[in-house]
Amino acid sequence: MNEEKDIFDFIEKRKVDMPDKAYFDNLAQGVIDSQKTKIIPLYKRPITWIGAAAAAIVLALLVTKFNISGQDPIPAPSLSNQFNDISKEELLAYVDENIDQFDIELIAEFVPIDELNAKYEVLENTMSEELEVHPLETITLEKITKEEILEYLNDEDLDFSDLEDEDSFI
Amino acid sequence: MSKPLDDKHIIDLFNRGGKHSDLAFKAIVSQFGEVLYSQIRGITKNHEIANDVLQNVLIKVYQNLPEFKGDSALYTWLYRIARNETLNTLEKEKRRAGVDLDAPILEIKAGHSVLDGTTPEFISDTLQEAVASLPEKQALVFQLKYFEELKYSEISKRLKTSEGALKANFHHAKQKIQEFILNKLNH
Repeated sequence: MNEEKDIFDFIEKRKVDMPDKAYFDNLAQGVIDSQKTKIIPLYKRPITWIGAAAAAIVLALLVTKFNISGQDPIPAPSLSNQFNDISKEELLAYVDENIDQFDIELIAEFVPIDELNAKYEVLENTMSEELEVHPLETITLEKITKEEILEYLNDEDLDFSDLEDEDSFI
Repeated sequence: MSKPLDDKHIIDLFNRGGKHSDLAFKAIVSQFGEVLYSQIRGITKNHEIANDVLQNVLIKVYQNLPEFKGDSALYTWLYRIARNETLNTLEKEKRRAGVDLDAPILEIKAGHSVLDGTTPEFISDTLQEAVASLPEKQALVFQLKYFEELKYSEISKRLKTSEGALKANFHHAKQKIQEFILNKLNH
Protein backbone atom coordinates (compact mmCIF):
# COMPACT_ATOMS: atom_id res chain seq x y z
CA MET A 1 0.00 0.00 0.00
CA ASN A 2 1.43 3.34 -1.16
CA GLU A 3 0.37 5.30 1.92
CA GLU A 4 2.50 3.04 4.10
CA LYS A 5 5.61 3.87 2.08
CA ASP A 6 7.80 6.58 3.53
CA ILE A 7 7.10 9.77 1.62
CA PHE A 8 10.66 10.91 2.27
CA ASP A 9 11.88 8.06 0.10
CA PHE A 10 10.05 9.63 -2.85
CA ILE A 11 11.03 13.25 -2.45
CA GLU A 12 14.39 14.72 -3.15
CA LYS A 13 15.79 17.99 -1.94
CA ARG A 14 16.98 20.55 -4.37
CA LYS A 15 20.07 22.46 -3.42
CA VAL A 16 19.34 26.04 -2.44
CA ASP A 17 21.71 28.65 -3.80
CA MET A 18 23.68 30.05 -0.92
CA PRO A 19 25.36 33.47 -0.85
CA ASP A 20 29.13 33.52 -0.41
CA LYS A 21 31.04 34.27 2.79
CA ALA A 22 31.43 37.96 1.91
CA TYR A 23 27.66 38.34 1.99
CA PHE A 24 27.50 37.20 5.62
CA ASP A 25 30.52 39.29 6.61
CA ASN A 26 28.95 42.40 5.12
CA LEU A 27 25.62 41.60 6.70
CA ALA A 28 27.18 41.30 10.14
CA GLN A 29 29.13 44.53 9.72
CA GLY A 30 26.04 46.34 8.44
CA VAL A 31 24.02 45.32 11.48
CA ILE A 32 26.84 46.36 13.83
CA ASP A 33 27.14 49.76 12.15
CA SER A 34 23.40 50.36 12.17
CA GLN A 35 23.17 49.58 15.86
CA LYS A 36 26.13 51.75 16.75
CA THR A 37 24.63 54.76 15.02
CA LYS A 38 21.43 54.24 16.98
CA ILE A 39 23.15 53.87 20.33
CA ILE A 40 24.29 57.42 21.12
CA PRO A 41 26.58 57.55 24.13
CA LEU A 42 25.03 59.22 27.15
CA TYR A 43 27.46 62.12 27.12
CA LYS A 44 26.60 62.88 23.50
CA ARG A 45 22.86 63.09 24.01
CA PRO A 46 21.58 66.69 23.89
CA ILE A 47 18.93 65.90 26.49
CA THR A 48 21.73 64.99 28.89
CA TRP A 49 23.29 68.40 28.56
CA ILE A 50 19.97 70.18 28.83
CA GLY A 51 19.16 68.18 31.92
CA ALA A 52 22.58 68.84 33.41
CA ALA A 53 22.26 72.57 32.78
CA ALA A 54 18.79 72.63 34.32
CA ALA A 55 20.03 70.68 37.33
CA ALA A 56 22.94 73.09 37.77
CA ILE A 57 20.61 76.10 37.69
CA VAL A 58 18.22 74.53 40.18
CA LEU A 59 21.13 73.61 42.45
CA ALA A 60 22.51 77.14 42.29
CA LEU A 61 19.12 78.56 43.19
CA LEU A 62 18.76 76.13 46.07
CA VAL A 63 22.21 77.01 47.43
CA THR A 64 21.38 80.69 47.30
CA LYS A 65 17.90 80.28 48.71
CA PHE A 66 18.57 77.88 51.55
CA ASN A 67 22.20 78.70 52.18
CA ILE A 68 23.29 75.08 51.92
CA SER A 69 26.96 75.96 52.26
CA GLY A 70 26.41 77.47 55.70
CA GLN A 71 27.71 80.86 54.68
CA ASP A 72 25.57 83.93 54.66
CA PRO A 73 24.25 84.68 51.26
CA ILE A 74 25.46 87.86 49.66
CA PRO A 75 23.28 90.58 51.24
CA ALA A 76 21.15 92.74 49.07
CA PRO A 77 22.04 96.42 49.30
CA SER A 78 20.24 97.74 52.37
CA LEU A 79 18.85 101.26 52.82
CA SER A 80 21.52 102.07 55.35
CA ASN A 81 24.24 100.83 52.94
CA GLN A 82 22.83 103.02 50.26
CA PHE A 83 22.87 105.98 52.65
CA ASN A 84 26.53 105.30 53.32
CA ASP A 85 27.23 106.30 49.77
CA ILE A 86 25.65 109.70 50.37
CA SER A 87 27.64 112.34 52.15
CA LYS A 88 26.27 113.83 55.32
CA GLU A 89 26.07 117.24 53.73
CA GLU A 90 23.95 115.92 50.88
CA LEU A 91 21.74 114.14 53.36
CA LEU A 92 21.22 117.14 55.52
CA ALA A 93 20.57 119.33 52.52
CA TYR A 94 17.90 116.91 51.34
CA VAL A 95 16.27 116.77 54.74
CA ASP A 96 16.41 120.49 54.95
CA GLU A 97 14.70 120.92 51.62
CA ASN A 98 12.02 118.34 52.36
CA ILE A 99 11.57 118.74 56.06
CA ASP A 100 7.82 119.15 55.74
CA GLN A 101 7.53 115.62 54.35
CA PHE A 102 9.35 113.97 57.25
CA ASP A 103 7.66 112.62 60.27
CA ILE A 104 9.50 114.05 63.25
CA GLU A 105 9.20 110.81 65.16
CA LEU A 106 10.70 108.90 62.21
CA ILE A 107 13.61 111.29 62.13
CA ALA A 108 14.09 110.94 65.85
CA GLU A 109 14.12 107.17 65.49
CA PHE A 110 16.71 106.88 62.72
CA VAL A 111 18.89 109.96 63.11
CA PRO A 112 21.34 110.00 66.04
CA ILE A 113 20.57 112.60 68.67
CA ASP A 114 23.93 114.36 68.10
CA GLU A 115 23.10 114.83 64.46
CA LEU A 116 19.67 116.07 65.41
CA ASN A 117 21.21 118.64 67.74
CA ALA A 118 23.64 119.65 65.08
CA LYS A 119 20.84 119.94 62.59
CA TYR A 120 18.82 121.92 65.05
CA GLU A 121 21.72 124.34 65.47
CA VAL A 122 22.11 124.62 61.74
CA LEU A 123 18.42 125.25 61.32
CA GLU A 124 18.40 127.72 64.19
CA ASN A 125 21.31 129.67 62.74
CA THR A 126 19.80 129.63 59.32
CA MET A 127 16.43 130.81 60.60
CA SER A 128 17.96 133.49 62.75
CA GLU A 129 19.87 134.81 59.77
CA GLU A 130 16.84 134.74 57.50
CA LEU A 131 14.23 136.11 59.89
CA GLU A 132 16.43 138.77 61.58
CA VAL A 133 14.44 138.63 64.76
CA HIS A 134 14.99 141.73 66.95
CA PRO A 135 14.58 141.80 70.74
CA LEU A 136 11.34 143.20 72.05
CA GLU A 137 11.39 146.82 73.30
CA THR A 138 10.61 147.46 76.93
CA ILE A 139 7.35 149.24 76.93
CA THR A 140 6.72 151.53 79.90
CA LEU A 141 3.86 153.86 80.82
CA GLU A 142 6.25 156.77 80.48
CA LYS A 143 6.14 156.48 76.75
CA ILE A 144 2.38 156.57 76.74
CA THR A 145 0.73 159.86 76.80
CA LYS A 146 -1.84 160.83 79.36
CA GLU A 147 -4.49 161.07 76.68
CA GLU A 148 -3.86 157.48 75.57
CA ILE A 149 -4.18 156.29 79.12
CA LEU A 150 -7.43 158.11 79.65
CA GLU A 151 -8.82 156.80 76.39
CA TYR A 152 -7.85 153.25 77.44
CA LEU A 153 -9.51 153.68 80.86
CA ASN A 154 -12.57 155.02 79.29
CA ASP A 155 -12.78 152.10 76.88
CA GLU A 156 -12.30 149.60 79.66
CA ASP A 157 -14.76 151.44 81.92
CA LEU A 158 -12.11 151.98 84.58
CA ASP A 159 -11.57 154.93 86.98
CA PHE A 160 -8.22 156.76 86.98
CA SER A 161 -8.13 156.65 90.81
CA ASP A 162 -7.86 152.84 90.58
CA LEU A 163 -4.54 153.19 88.77
CA GLU A 164 -3.10 155.41 91.51
CA ASP A 165 -3.29 152.42 93.91
CA GLU A 166 -1.26 150.29 91.53
CA ASP A 167 2.30 151.51 91.83
CA SER A 168 3.55 149.13 89.33
CA PHE A 169 1.65 150.73 86.54
CA ILE A 170 3.11 154.14 87.09
CA MET B 1 38.26 28.67 9.16
CA SER B 2 38.79 29.47 12.82
CA LYS B 3 37.53 27.20 15.55
CA PRO B 4 33.87 27.84 16.41
CA LEU B 5 33.24 29.54 19.75
CA ASP B 6 30.90 27.91 22.23
CA ASP B 7 27.72 29.65 23.33
CA LYS B 8 29.05 30.84 26.68
CA HIS B 9 32.19 32.28 25.14
CA ILE B 10 30.15 34.18 22.56
CA ILE B 11 27.77 35.62 25.14
CA ASP B 12 30.53 36.61 27.56
CA LEU B 13 32.44 38.24 24.75
CA PHE B 14 29.38 40.15 23.56
CA ASN B 15 28.59 41.43 27.04
CA ARG B 16 32.09 42.88 27.39
CA GLY B 17 31.02 45.54 24.88
CA GLY B 18 32.92 47.52 22.29
CA LYS B 19 35.10 45.56 19.90
CA HIS B 20 34.46 42.41 21.91
CA SER B 21 30.76 42.69 21.08
CA ASP B 22 31.62 43.11 17.41
CA LEU B 23 33.77 40.00 17.43
CA ALA B 24 31.09 37.99 19.22
CA PHE B 25 28.42 39.12 16.81
CA LYS B 26 30.57 38.31 13.79
CA ALA B 27 31.17 34.87 15.28
CA ILE B 28 27.42 34.34 15.56
CA VAL B 29 26.86 35.28 11.93
CA SER B 30 29.83 33.20 10.84
CA GLN B 31 28.69 30.09 12.71
CA PHE B 32 24.92 30.33 12.27
CA GLY B 33 24.37 32.69 9.35
CA GLU B 34 24.21 30.04 6.65
CA VAL B 35 21.83 27.73 8.47
CA LEU B 36 19.58 30.66 9.37
CA TYR B 37 19.63 31.89 5.80
CA SER B 38 18.82 28.42 4.49
CA GLN B 39 15.96 28.10 6.94
CA ILE B 40 14.53 31.48 5.92
CA ARG B 41 15.17 31.05 2.20
CA GLY B 42 13.44 27.65 2.24
CA ILE B 43 10.25 29.30 3.44
CA THR B 44 10.39 32.62 1.62
CA LYS B 45 11.73 31.10 -1.60
CA ASN B 46 13.30 34.43 -2.57
CA HIS B 47 16.72 35.88 -1.85
CA GLU B 48 15.62 39.52 -1.42
CA ILE B 49 12.92 38.61 1.07
CA ALA B 50 15.25 36.18 2.83
CA ASN B 51 17.88 38.91 3.01
CA ASP B 52 15.41 41.37 4.59
CA VAL B 53 14.21 38.81 7.06
CA LEU B 54 17.70 37.69 8.02
CA GLN B 55 18.76 41.29 8.52
CA ASN B 56 15.82 41.88 10.86
CA VAL B 57 16.61 38.66 12.68
CA LEU B 58 20.22 39.69 13.23
CA ILE B 59 19.19 43.14 14.45
CA LYS B 60 16.91 41.51 17.02
CA VAL B 61 19.72 39.18 17.99
CA TYR B 62 22.11 42.10 18.47
CA GLN B 63 19.61 44.05 20.52
CA ASN B 64 18.40 41.18 22.69
CA LEU B 65 21.51 39.11 23.21
CA PRO B 66 22.28 40.81 26.56
CA GLU B 67 18.95 39.43 27.82
CA PHE B 68 19.69 35.91 26.62
CA LYS B 69 19.99 33.81 29.78
CA GLY B 70 21.50 30.73 28.21
CA ASP B 71 18.65 28.49 29.37
CA SER B 72 18.65 26.93 25.92
CA ALA B 73 21.32 26.56 23.27
CA LEU B 74 22.12 29.75 21.40
CA TYR B 75 21.08 28.22 18.11
CA THR B 76 17.71 27.21 19.55
CA TRP B 77 17.17 30.85 20.45
CA LEU B 78 18.32 32.02 17.01
CA TYR B 79 16.12 29.48 15.25
CA ARG B 80 13.08 30.66 17.22
CA ILE B 81 13.68 34.29 16.29
CA ALA B 82 14.22 33.39 12.63
CA ARG B 83 11.13 31.24 12.45
CA ASN B 84 8.88 33.84 14.02
CA GLU B 85 10.33 36.64 11.94
CA THR B 86 9.92 34.68 8.70
CA LEU B 87 6.33 33.66 9.33
CA ASN B 88 5.39 37.15 10.57
CA THR B 89 6.97 38.76 7.52
CA LEU B 90 5.14 36.50 5.10
CA GLU B 91 1.88 37.02 6.95
CA LYS B 92 2.22 40.81 7.08
CA GLU B 93 3.59 41.68 3.69
CA LYS B 94 1.67 39.33 1.46
CA ARG B 95 4.02 40.54 -1.22
CA ARG B 96 4.90 37.22 -2.68
CA ALA B 97 2.68 37.89 -5.69
CA GLY B 98 4.84 39.29 -8.47
CA VAL B 99 8.06 38.19 -6.82
CA ASP B 100 10.31 35.73 -8.61
CA LEU B 101 10.24 32.65 -6.44
CA ASP B 102 12.93 30.01 -6.21
CA ALA B 103 12.38 26.68 -7.81
CA PRO B 104 10.66 24.22 -5.45
CA ILE B 105 12.93 22.88 -2.74
CA LEU B 106 11.68 19.33 -3.37
CA GLU B 107 11.56 17.11 -6.41
CA ILE B 108 9.22 14.14 -6.59
CA LYS B 109 10.38 10.70 -7.55
CA ALA B 110 8.01 8.44 -9.31
CA GLY B 111 6.57 5.42 -7.49
CA HIS B 112 4.34 6.86 -4.78
CA SER B 113 0.74 6.85 -5.98
CA VAL B 114 -0.33 9.76 -3.77
CA LEU B 115 2.69 11.91 -4.61
CA ASP B 116 2.48 11.12 -8.30
CA GLY B 117 -0.69 13.16 -8.58
CA THR B 118 0.78 16.38 -7.19
CA THR B 119 3.44 18.92 -8.11
CA PRO B 120 6.85 19.79 -6.62
CA GLU B 121 5.56 23.29 -5.75
CA PHE B 122 2.63 21.90 -3.82
CA ILE B 123 4.65 19.30 -1.95
CA SER B 124 7.35 21.86 -1.13
CA ASP B 125 4.84 24.34 0.29
CA THR B 126 3.00 21.63 2.16
CA LEU B 127 6.19 20.36 3.72
CA GLN B 128 7.05 23.89 4.94
CA GLU B 129 3.55 24.21 6.39
CA ALA B 130 4.03 20.88 8.13
CA VAL B 131 7.38 21.98 9.61
CA ALA B 132 5.82 25.22 10.82
CA SER B 133 3.15 23.20 12.65
CA LEU B 134 5.70 21.13 14.57
CA PRO B 135 6.79 21.76 18.12
CA GLU B 136 9.84 23.97 18.10
CA LYS B 137 12.37 21.35 19.11
CA GLN B 138 11.18 18.85 16.50
CA ALA B 139 11.14 21.52 13.79
CA LEU B 140 14.62 22.59 14.78
CA VAL B 141 16.04 19.08 14.67
CA PHE B 142 14.30 18.39 11.37
CA GLN B 143 15.78 21.55 9.86
CA LEU B 144 19.32 20.63 10.89
CA LYS B 145 19.11 16.95 10.07
CA TYR B 146 17.01 16.92 6.91
CA PHE B 147 17.89 20.19 5.19
CA GLU B 148 21.36 20.88 6.58
CA GLU B 149 22.30 17.20 6.71
CA LEU B 150 24.30 17.62 9.90
CA LYS B 151 25.41 14.58 11.84
CA TYR B 152 23.69 13.85 15.13
CA SER B 153 26.97 14.44 16.94
CA GLU B 154 27.17 17.92 15.48
CA ILE B 155 23.55 18.71 16.24
CA SER B 156 24.08 17.36 19.74
CA LYS B 157 26.85 19.93 20.31
CA ARG B 158 24.84 22.78 18.89
CA LEU B 159 21.66 22.04 20.77
CA LYS B 160 23.20 20.56 23.90
CA THR B 161 20.91 17.55 23.56
CA SER B 162 21.77 13.85 23.59
CA GLU B 163 21.94 12.07 20.27
CA GLY B 164 19.24 9.64 21.40
CA ALA B 165 16.86 12.47 22.10
CA LEU B 166 17.71 14.01 18.74
CA LYS B 167 16.95 10.77 16.91
CA ALA B 168 13.61 10.52 18.68
CA ASN B 169 12.82 14.13 17.81
CA PHE B 170 13.71 13.61 14.17
CA HIS B 171 11.66 10.41 13.94
CA HIS B 172 8.57 12.09 15.44
CA ALA B 173 9.02 15.08 13.18
CA LYS B 174 9.11 12.94 10.04
CA GLN B 175 6.03 11.02 11.11
CA LYS B 176 4.02 14.20 11.76
CA ILE B 177 5.12 15.77 8.48
CA GLN B 178 4.15 12.67 6.56
CA GLU B 179 0.72 12.59 8.18
CA PHE B 180 0.27 16.27 7.49
CA ILE B 181 1.09 15.84 3.78
CA LEU B 182 -1.06 12.76 3.32
CA ASN B 183 -4.00 14.40 5.07
CA LYS B 184 -3.66 17.41 2.83
CA LEU B 185 -3.42 15.31 -0.32
CA ASN B 186 -6.35 13.08 0.64
CA HIS B 187 -8.71 16.01 1.29
